[in-house]
Amino acid sequence: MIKHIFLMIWNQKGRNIGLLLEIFFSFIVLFAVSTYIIYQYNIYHQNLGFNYENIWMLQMDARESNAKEIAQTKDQIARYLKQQTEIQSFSYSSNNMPYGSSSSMTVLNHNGKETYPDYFQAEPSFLETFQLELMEGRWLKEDDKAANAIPIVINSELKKELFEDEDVINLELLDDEGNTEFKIVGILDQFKFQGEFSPARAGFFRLMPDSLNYPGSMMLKIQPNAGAAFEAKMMKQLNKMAGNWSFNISYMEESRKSRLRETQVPIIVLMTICGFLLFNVALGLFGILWSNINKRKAEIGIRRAMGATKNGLNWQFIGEMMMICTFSLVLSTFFAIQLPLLKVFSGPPFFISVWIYFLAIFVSILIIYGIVLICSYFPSRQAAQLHPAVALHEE
Amino acid sequence: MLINYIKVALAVLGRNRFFTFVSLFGISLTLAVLIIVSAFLNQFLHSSYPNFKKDRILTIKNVGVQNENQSSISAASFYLYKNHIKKLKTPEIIGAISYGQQRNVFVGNQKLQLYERLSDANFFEIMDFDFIEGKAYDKGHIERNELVAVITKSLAEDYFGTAKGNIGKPIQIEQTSYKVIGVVRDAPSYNSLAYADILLPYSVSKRNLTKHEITGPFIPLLLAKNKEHKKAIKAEAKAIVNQVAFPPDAWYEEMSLDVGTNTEFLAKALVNPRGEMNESELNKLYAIIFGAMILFMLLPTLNLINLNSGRIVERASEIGVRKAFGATSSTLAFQFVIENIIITFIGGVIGLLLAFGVLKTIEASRYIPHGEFPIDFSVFAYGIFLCFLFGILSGVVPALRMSKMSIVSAIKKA
Repeated sequence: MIKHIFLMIWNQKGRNIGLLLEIFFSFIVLFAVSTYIIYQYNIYHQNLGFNYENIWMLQMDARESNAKEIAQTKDQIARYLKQQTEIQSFSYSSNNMPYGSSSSMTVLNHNGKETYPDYFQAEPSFLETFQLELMEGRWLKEDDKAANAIPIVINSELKKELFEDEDVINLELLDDEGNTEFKIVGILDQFKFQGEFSPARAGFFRLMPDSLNYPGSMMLKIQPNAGAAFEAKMMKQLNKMAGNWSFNISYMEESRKSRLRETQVPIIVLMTICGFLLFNVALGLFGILWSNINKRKAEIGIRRAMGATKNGLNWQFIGEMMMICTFSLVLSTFFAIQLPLLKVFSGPPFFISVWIYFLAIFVSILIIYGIVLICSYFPSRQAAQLHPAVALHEE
Repeated sequence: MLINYIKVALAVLGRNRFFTFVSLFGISLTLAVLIIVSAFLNQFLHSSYPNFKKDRILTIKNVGVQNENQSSISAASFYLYKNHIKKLKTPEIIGAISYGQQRNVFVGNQKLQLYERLSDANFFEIMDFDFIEGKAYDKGHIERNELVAVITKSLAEDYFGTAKGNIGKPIQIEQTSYKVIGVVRDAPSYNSLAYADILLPYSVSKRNLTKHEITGPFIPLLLAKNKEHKKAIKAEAKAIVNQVAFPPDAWYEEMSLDVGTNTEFLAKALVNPRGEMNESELNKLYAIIFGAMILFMLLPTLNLINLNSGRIVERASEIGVRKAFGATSSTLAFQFVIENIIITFIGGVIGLLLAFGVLKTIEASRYIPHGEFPIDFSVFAYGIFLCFLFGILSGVVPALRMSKMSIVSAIKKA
């Protein structure tokens, strides 16, 4: 049977080559789009590591650059905020905070290995403000400021990159000159501050030193019912306490929405375009099969007269299409499979794992077979329904 | 002759509604997508209101300072702008606009979020804002440290409740009150150089503007006379890095900056986000866009080729008869290509209308604030060119196959 179907295809090779090409390119497009979507979906579902709900991000900018004056003003502001019942918890921090636009990196060495993690500064209350998930050890404390080696809390990605299976709690890290610089006191799960659609990156936290000559940012976890009236009152008070500072408040939930949109919009556009292309291809296949079958009425008549059943005939036409489709898919999978085999984009900055490619290939094959099956079923059935006498009459 | 071909083409269209639908659907949607994408690209990459001087505006971005271990990249400080960039000799006009800040303004108990930016007076000479009323601030306002503001029409409507007659009214932002002296039409949100709700003279800044520092919040704008002139400006601006004196307590030992049009910066960010800027990114980006469009057209074209070559049989009798009466293969092939181009054009017109509708819907939906996506003449011409390409590509293969048909088999099949 298979040999017979192959012969039928071979006899029509001029026409079938067009179909072959069309399915080939459909697969390539589908493969590219599904790889992209699976990749983004996978990143989206990695643990974010913090709670962004009801958080206000206050960015501060000071005209003076005297560390002492700045620390005094910051203390004054903190005292005021503590009295406000609308605020659940707050923490000063560096500017590289969730869904913002700045980032800050540094270099860490250990046993000859080198990595460039994100570098966050925060306060002891930061853990509560963001509801971070601590996995091992402890979070930063107020008396860490007096410690000789700066206590840090690393995330699991940094642990994986730099230390692998080592026990890192209380491990001391050296700087370039061989002096003790940091001491690890805890491990966090994750802090994906660039948002859901960014791959997990190595990073660590330390306490914010008092000696900074800029105020940095402030994260405020507020009560769900506090609204614009409270914000206006608070801003007025802040401006009174620090007259020549400028304050800039943004709601983290809003920033998150616009950050998510940056990735969601391209995905929706890609899916729409891909869907349109596939619909177009499906209609085309349907049309081609229909006109092919019209051309083969004589053949159908003879087959029926010689005793082929309706069902057998139906399956023969579907089988022909499926075989062309299979040829095409074997060819295109051969090209697509080079990506996981050669580990293309498996390194920074994309880190596309091999299984994503394989899943994308599998999904694409399934969709293509589905489309071809649907598009060949109806014309084939119509052909099989033809009465032998009517079909032969065409000759 | 041509009229005959058109008549035949229309007759063929009417013969089988399903096939006509499939062909026109494929053609019109493909062209509609291409026209929509190019209208977007034209706006995002090329130029949008109010920077109509397009490719003549150079900006200085990626101002960075570094030593062996550390580097920090940002925009220019006011110190750098005033003492070095402002002293450049080649540009026609030199202006500056700052990166913006979100400000919260309260109208009664309602909160308005606005995007505030600082600029100098020259900024308004480089950008072609449409003033609904009033005018921009000038050097005098800045020297006298006046608290004046240019606001957009949408802010005027939200804050004062009316778009007209707002000149001289005060607008309260946090603790400061500014006098409105001009109202402009809103720039689209994707225009990174001009989008703002309120523009203020840089002299109102709370920052210490005279502070000796290299990086800060300002984007310097340099206006060139023409293409050749741009090269000279770039060379002069890049030389600044060797002339700047660093503050005595600075941690950095070197500085860097990039000069280019906004399009060049966008191309760099898309094509080569991590590397150093060179001149080739724009061409690379155009090559990628062009390649992607060709790839996108490939599938519908293959589809049409397959469909058309399958349908030749329908016309076997016509071909047979015409050949028997002496029509050459090339005449028939030519006729078929022409027919195909006509069908493609019909699809193209539908596609153009579709694209127009979609773009208007996007504008009306306000999904992209103040976005305007006109199908301008170049995009239209591009669409027509695509129609031709599409028609020829999808017509040639079937036409050749058709013209090769032998008379006997053609007539027999009928």
